[in-house]
Amino acid sequence: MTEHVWKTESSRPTGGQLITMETAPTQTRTDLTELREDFASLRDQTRLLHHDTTNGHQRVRRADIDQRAAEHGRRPLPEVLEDISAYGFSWREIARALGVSVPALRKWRLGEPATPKNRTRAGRLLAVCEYLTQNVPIIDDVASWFELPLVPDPAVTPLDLYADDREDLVLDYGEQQEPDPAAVLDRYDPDWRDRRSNFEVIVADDGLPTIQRRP
Amino acid sequence: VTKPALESPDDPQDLYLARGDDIPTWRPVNTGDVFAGVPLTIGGERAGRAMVLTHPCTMRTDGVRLVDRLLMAPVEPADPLPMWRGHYARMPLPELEPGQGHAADFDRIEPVASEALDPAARLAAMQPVGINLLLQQLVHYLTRVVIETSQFNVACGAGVAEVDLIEEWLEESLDGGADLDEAAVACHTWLRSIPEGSQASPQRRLNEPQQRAAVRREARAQVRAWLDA
Repeated sequence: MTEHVWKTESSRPTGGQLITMETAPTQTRTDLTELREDFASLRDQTRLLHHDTTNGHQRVRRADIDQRAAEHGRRPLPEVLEDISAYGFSWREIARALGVSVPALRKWRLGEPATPKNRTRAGRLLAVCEYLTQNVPIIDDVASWFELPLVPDPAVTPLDLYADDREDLVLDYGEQQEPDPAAVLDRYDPDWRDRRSNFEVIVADDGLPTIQRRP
Repeated sequence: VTKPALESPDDPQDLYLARGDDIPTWRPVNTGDVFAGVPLTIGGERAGRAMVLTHPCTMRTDGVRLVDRLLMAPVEPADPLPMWRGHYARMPLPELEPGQGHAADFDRIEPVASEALDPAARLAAMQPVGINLLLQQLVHYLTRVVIETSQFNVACGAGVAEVDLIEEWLEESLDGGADLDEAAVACHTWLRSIPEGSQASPQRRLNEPQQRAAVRREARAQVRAWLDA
């Protein structure tokens, strides 16, 4: 019977070193035990490294967005709202993202004062849009990206996440730190799979959407 | 075993896009709108409150003009809270007016001449969540079939986006001193046109969620160009 030997460039393998598997006629149990421990140690180190780099990245990201939001918070609110709108959001969506009513938003656009909290929220939404546009090449149309469901059913969108105060999930998904939409939804709502429907929307032969039972 | 068949809002305020004077008079009529002074006939002729039930996709003949008659349900004062459970012939309308709940009555649905609806007498316009809940209630009332509101949300998404876009076009036009009817026709003409080099009209592209932001940006540029011309 052929046995396998893990050969490395040194006796203590690291992630950056070439690891090859060769066949050899013999292999002692002690060697295998040491190798298993080496790889377990490496695995733990990379896990910690991943954790540290993820945290570091998130802190830098938060600082970047905080800084942008603070700058926008000092600008006239109608200008900030126009800049958000220019990405292609509807006023209704902007109001939803900010957690305010459409009539309140209309009054602010016309120059009526808003509370500092709402000015901050508007500045922050613009900051998030800017950040994603400038730092995530795959998002070439940020307003469109906000409207696109993560999975077909239930059709939860990044805008839904943002309106529910989950900016963290929006950014993790946008930056592909969490590229799996199902994993993002698990963090948002562990029961999301239970909300899938037995119905689906199709385009009928008159060109309009129709709801039908799934085949 | 019994359980609630239909969904209800987390917060009753979530139902409404705007109420009373906060509704722009130029906002197109949409499903779920509640009007005062509607000429009703069932139970005796009178002018009362009523809610539009006609589906967004079928309420306009050519995209601009409303069909001659809209299906409407009378709206009466009621305690709406218990109605989210088991009162399936009613659409609860909490806080339709300050401190006063109402409900739309599906047992007395009737067609109403659309020209009789006064834009200045609109009491409420619905958020998508309100429209979705209304359609769920109505479909269940008519068929005893329960369809999740998430499906209505997908099916009505393009219609909602179009109403929002028309409202914004008209607002911008009015701010620019344009005539409302001319602006409505210009908006509709653009929505249905197929630009050179494109495969679909802006109206058709609204069916695709990923296209809606681009259509809005184009609409904003178009209305400015139309006003400049």
